[in-house]
Amino acid sequence: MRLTRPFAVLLAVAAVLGGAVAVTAAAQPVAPTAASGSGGATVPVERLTLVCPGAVTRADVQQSYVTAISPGGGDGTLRVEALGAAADAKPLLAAPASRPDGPVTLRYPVPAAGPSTLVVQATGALARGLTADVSVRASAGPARGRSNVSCTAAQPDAWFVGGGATVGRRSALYLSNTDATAATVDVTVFTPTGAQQPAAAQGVLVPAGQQRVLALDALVPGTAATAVAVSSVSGRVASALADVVVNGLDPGGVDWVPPSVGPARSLVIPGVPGDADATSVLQLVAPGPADAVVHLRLLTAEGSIVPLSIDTLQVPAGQLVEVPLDKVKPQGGYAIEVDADQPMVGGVRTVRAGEYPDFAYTAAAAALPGAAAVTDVEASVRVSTVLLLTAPGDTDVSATLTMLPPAGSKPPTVPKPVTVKVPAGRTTVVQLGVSGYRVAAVVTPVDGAGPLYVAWLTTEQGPRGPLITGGPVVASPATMQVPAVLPDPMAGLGAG
Amino acid sequence: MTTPFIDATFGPERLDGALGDPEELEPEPDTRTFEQFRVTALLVAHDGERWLPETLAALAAQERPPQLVLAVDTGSTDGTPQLLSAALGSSAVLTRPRDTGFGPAVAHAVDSLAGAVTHTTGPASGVVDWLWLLHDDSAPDPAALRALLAVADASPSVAIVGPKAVGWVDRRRLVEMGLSIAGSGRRETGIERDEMDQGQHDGQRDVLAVGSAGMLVRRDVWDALGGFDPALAMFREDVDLGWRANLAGHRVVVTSDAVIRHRVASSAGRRRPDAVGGRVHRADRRSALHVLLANAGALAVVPQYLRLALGSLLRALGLALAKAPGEALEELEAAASVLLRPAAVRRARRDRRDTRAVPARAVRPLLAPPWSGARHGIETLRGLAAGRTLVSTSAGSVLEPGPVSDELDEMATGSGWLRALLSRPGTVVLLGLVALALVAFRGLVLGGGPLSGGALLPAPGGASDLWAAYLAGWHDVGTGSGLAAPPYLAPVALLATALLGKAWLAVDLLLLLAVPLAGLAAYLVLGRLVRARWARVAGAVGYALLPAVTGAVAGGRLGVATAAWLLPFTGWAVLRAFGVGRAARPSWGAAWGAGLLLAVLTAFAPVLWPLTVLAGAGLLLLGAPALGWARLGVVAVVPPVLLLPWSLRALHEPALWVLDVGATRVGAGSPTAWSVALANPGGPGTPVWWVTGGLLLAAWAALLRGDRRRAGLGAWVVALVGLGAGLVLSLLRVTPAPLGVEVPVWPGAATLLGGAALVSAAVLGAEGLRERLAGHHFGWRQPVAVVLLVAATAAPVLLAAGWLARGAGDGVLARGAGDVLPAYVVASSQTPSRPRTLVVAVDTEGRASYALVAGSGRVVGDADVAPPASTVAALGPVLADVLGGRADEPAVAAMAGYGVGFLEVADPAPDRVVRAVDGVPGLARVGAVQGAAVWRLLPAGPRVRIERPAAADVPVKADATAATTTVDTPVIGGAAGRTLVLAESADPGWWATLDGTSLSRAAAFDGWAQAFTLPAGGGRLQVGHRAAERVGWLLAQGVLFVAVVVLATPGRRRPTEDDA
Repeated sequence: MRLTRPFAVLLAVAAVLGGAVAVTAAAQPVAPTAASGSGGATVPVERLTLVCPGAVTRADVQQSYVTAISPGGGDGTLRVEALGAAADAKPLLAAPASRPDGPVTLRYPVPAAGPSTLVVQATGALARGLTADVSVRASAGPARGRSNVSCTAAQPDAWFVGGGATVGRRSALYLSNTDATAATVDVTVFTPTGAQQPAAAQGVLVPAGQQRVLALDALVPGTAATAVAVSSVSGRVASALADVVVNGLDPGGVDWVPPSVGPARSLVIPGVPGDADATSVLQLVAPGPADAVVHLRLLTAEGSIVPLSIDTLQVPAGQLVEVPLDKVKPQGGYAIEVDADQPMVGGVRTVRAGEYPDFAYTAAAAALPGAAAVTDVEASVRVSTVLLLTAPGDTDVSATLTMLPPAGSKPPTVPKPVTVKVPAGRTTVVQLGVSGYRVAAVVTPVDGAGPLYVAWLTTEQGPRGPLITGGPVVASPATMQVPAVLPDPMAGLGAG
Repeated sequence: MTTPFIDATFGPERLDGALGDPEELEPEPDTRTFEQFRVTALLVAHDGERWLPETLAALAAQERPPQLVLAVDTGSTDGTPQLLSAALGSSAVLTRPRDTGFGPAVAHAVDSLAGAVTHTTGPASGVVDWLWLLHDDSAPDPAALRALLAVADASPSVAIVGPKAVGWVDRRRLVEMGLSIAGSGRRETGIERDEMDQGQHDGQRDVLAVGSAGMLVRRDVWDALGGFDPALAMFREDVDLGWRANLAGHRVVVTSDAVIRHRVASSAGRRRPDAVGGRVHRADRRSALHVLLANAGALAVVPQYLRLALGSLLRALGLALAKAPGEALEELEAAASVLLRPAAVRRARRDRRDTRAVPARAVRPLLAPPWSGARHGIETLRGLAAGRTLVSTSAGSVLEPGPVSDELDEMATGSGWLRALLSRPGTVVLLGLVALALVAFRGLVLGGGPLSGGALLPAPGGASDLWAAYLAGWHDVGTGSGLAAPPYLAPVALLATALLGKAWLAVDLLLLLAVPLAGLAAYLVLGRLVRARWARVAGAVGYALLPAVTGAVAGGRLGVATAAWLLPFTGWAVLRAFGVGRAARPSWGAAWGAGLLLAVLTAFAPVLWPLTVLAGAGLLLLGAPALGWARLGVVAVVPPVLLLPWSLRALHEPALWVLDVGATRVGAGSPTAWSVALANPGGPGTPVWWVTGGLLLAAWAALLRGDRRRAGLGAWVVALVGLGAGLVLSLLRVTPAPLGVEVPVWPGAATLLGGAALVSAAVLGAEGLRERLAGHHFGWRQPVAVVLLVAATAAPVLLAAGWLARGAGDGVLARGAGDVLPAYVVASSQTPSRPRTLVVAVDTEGRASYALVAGSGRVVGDADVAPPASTVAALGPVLADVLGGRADEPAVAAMAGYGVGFLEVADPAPDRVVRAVDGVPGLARVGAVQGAAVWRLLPAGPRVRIERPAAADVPVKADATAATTTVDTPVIGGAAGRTLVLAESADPGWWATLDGTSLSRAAAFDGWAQAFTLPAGGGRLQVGHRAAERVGWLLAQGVLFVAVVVLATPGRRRPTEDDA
């Protein structure tokens, strides 16, 4: 190279470097390849096990059914068996291997003698959106009343707002373990005076395939109202809380407390009856360490109401606060929207007066994730079932409603799917039922419109007083989020 | 220089009259003749015609002449016999064969004396006989004999008197003033090398011995002791005689009043010592060992024997390293001839027993102190540091790279050292950058736990852990891996060992001092390119703060951070191997040295190996010196050979060449092309891209200088290689096996090379700019130069400011961010089931990553040997179920199959995930540490188990504390078809025996785990991992390393004629 031309060298160097930069810049990917991407995937549910706790007092039960509905149908198995049954034992009831398309329903009459706690197992497509519940009707005896409990999957923790431990009242917590490994749970009871962790309820061991029942009157005797938190230490349990009231020798009602959604700052409690003879009490707990300031709004058929005198409440940390709702009785049913500055759980207990009263619970619920079944729709001269659909958001929400024929029999008429429109901020009440039949219904929110909360309520005009039951409509999700999990030898070691 | 300890050693009891200035004490000329003494001078000559005339003249000029002079000529072939006969008369000249040593020659003369001269011995007769021993190369001063006799006269207990020996040519050079012997056998004169005689040792004192040149010894004592030990053919006979005289209760005294000029011809190698067949070193060592063993106290013989055996081995090794294989061999021969023949020593000791009158400890004060050996070592090191190596500096040496020694010398010598230090720009650069680094490291200097973050894993407990990680053939990382350990662990372990085993301190220092050391290195090396100090300072600071350096520090990239200060030295070594640069001569040694340095550099930043070779080739293309390509070949070949077997592994995993050492993290982005062209690799710790623009501009403009165009072009060739490689690397996506996903490559090392070249070019262009500009008329040049200067000097300032503002850690580096496993988890990993911990991290978007961790957590070096992601891939779906809360027992069993005993969701563990995992049957929460959550698996997965068909597994007890899974336990028999499964990656190194019979290997269990087929019978089961291969590699590596060091060390310098 001749070195006598400085500018030529200068330009050559600049050209080489500039060219390399230009080529590199052109070849570089526009967007960074790494660091983007979703936090996981949505996969269909493949397996689901639901636990249906037994009846509260067996001797008095006249009718007890376990109903399991898989609204989508498809391939898979669905069976009902006893808790703790051997893996290869014959199921008590199973869906036939060959069956027509469409929703699959199993209805198992629970015999008076036999296992009371049952397990509903579903695999494949039948696990998606599976709903199961136990409905019990007793027209006489100490446990007179209608009661209903959704079968739940085992969860690491569960919240129940309801129950009590005064004289004549027997609330019991049912802890069932379907796994092959023992589970240990801690139970916290929230009372009007604060949270309590009775020693007998700490480290409760639930052996594999077994059930433990804890009576609240043994844990917190004399407490008028309770809320219960079940928290797993190891393993998982399906929990349920039953509430039975006996006034002297007279029955005072019976029902199960539906689980409340986990502590959240914003709750919707659907399905509060608005009947004149019904007395409803809102129960709220702020389980966290701080007192909560709570704002209430009632979502009625007429629109949303801010109830005077109880629109703003102070809920001390850890205390169960009861708010009587007898001053406000909007026509028909309604939902309560709770907004708080601390995470809350909540529910409503409604007592229908009569010679023998009965009561029902509802609780803060999750918005419907998709199609959900109402398993036990009964309609007759004395029995009515209503569906309360609430759209707390700013937009109107529509849902379709399909009545299912009862298993094994053809109803004379099967209504076509109807579309129900729920105006924004209101509750729409729909009367369900095909007279004379116990059927089921599937409610499917129209995609993308907004959250929809649904509850149901069955009222029977019994000769010595009404028998009621109800609660939020819950659905097992058809899909679930799977986190993206990748091997990385540096996992968990500070910043990257 | 005064050396106080010498007085304490050699003269605890000074004689009266010897204190003070001799001039004052002896104002009058001494005329005493000491008639009562009869002195026989014995002159031994051997090929000494060069010195003999002077010696004879000096003998003749004695003011108090000896009564008799007798000469022994040991077969001289030159004019020695004639000279002697002419001066003394032929009757006074005895002749002995050519191989006669000094001792035997004297003995012969003394024997002949008995016949030739009549005398009576003993003080009783009133006349005392003395022997005065002289060499042919020793010329006594005229007053020497009288002064010696004066000492003898003053004290009758004195049996041996010696003079002060000074240089033959230069009288001011002190040669000897009494003798002693060190524990190693070294002849101790107590005089520093090249020490000038300023009267500092003057006086008269008791010593162990005096040199045989000019030694005056009483005849009766001589006879009683039997003269010199005949076993000593040459060397140490004087020490031995003095030692024996002392042990016999006599005094040996040296006096500075008597002076003798001594050439010390034989031991300095100036004439061939025929008495020992020319093998000076062997004779020297032989005599040394013999004297020590013969005179040692009875109790000290055995320890002395062992010490000498070990010392000889070490000395031989050192000599071999110093490329003196002949001497090394002679050292071993000498040791063997003395130590393996105890009979000779026993005989010598028996002879000495007869004359011994005082216990050995009485003489001990006269022996050299035990720490004199250490002092010699320190002096040697000081000499090395000062550039006057004892071995040689003919062409420079890699052990003593040119640029360093000069500067260290500059820094370390002279008085007022602190002021001198501070006035040196190099020191100012270093101290300034240290201060800068301390501020930038604010909050990271102190604090709990070792540094970690980014690519850096926490340092292990101690240096031994680092060594173990480097030496081990099996690493308990992930599912276990037999991959070759990364070679950078060895230097880090070495540093940690030097820091008293503090591994964390070694890592701290490597990061904290990366910038200051890079600055110092650049300053020293730039000094070889330019003379202008301010340009060097600016260049050094600019280099030290290059984005690649600060980025490497912030990202915990130990490799590039260390490479930052190794690179200038390596670059300089390569240039010197080519013969480029100031006052450098190309040499093969330099090429080997450059290869050695490049190997170390490659260990820390692998990509710099191909880039350095490429840049070297580019430089050679500009104009290859003779042998340049061959030397480049040496430089290129040494690193991969020295880094075996890691380089073999890198052959199969090319990603290793472009990735930094340490951990590779997911989620990093790529820098823009412009930023790379400006030597900015992007990422944490790097400034915005335009900050280094001035540097590029200045380097570019340096090409304008006609007088420096060649150097400038050379720098630009390197810069284009570095920056070009950086651009290519920034486009690369590689898949590190342990991650299994594509990640971008951080082009830090390449931009470091490019940046270094840019700095060099800019400094080259800036030097002497003022003078050159002054030579031109004012025109476009001056304003352009000013703009460029401002741009170039702005870069270091902006870089420093940016570094200070961001902080050295830049949010990535932190203390105590390593694995925090609860104590019971760590303790439990030391139980026979050796459970691992499955560590899971969940990010804010719900993504999770996981790693298998053994023992107390991951440490430096673990990431480099992590097994491929495929071995743990099956855990992904299982964990997704577990974190989603829908897992059941089979999921836990799947985890247990990996030897997992604990599951940890790392800090911060999202509450949602904790609740979900709580509900997984088979997982029991056992507690949390610092925001993490930990579960125990029920049952925990054992490291070794027996899989039985259609039945539960049987855990097998492994050694609780061994680093690698080992089993030695009885197992009972069972059904056929059993499989022994190790929760370790399948590897040919695993072996298993049942009652001594090898078990046959089964196919990898679950596709990854080592399995063996177990017969139906029971017995004693043994399992282990063979380390032979790794040991073989390490031995080969050690041998190769020593070989390259020897090749890189320049040869031993032959003594030149006139350095006395």
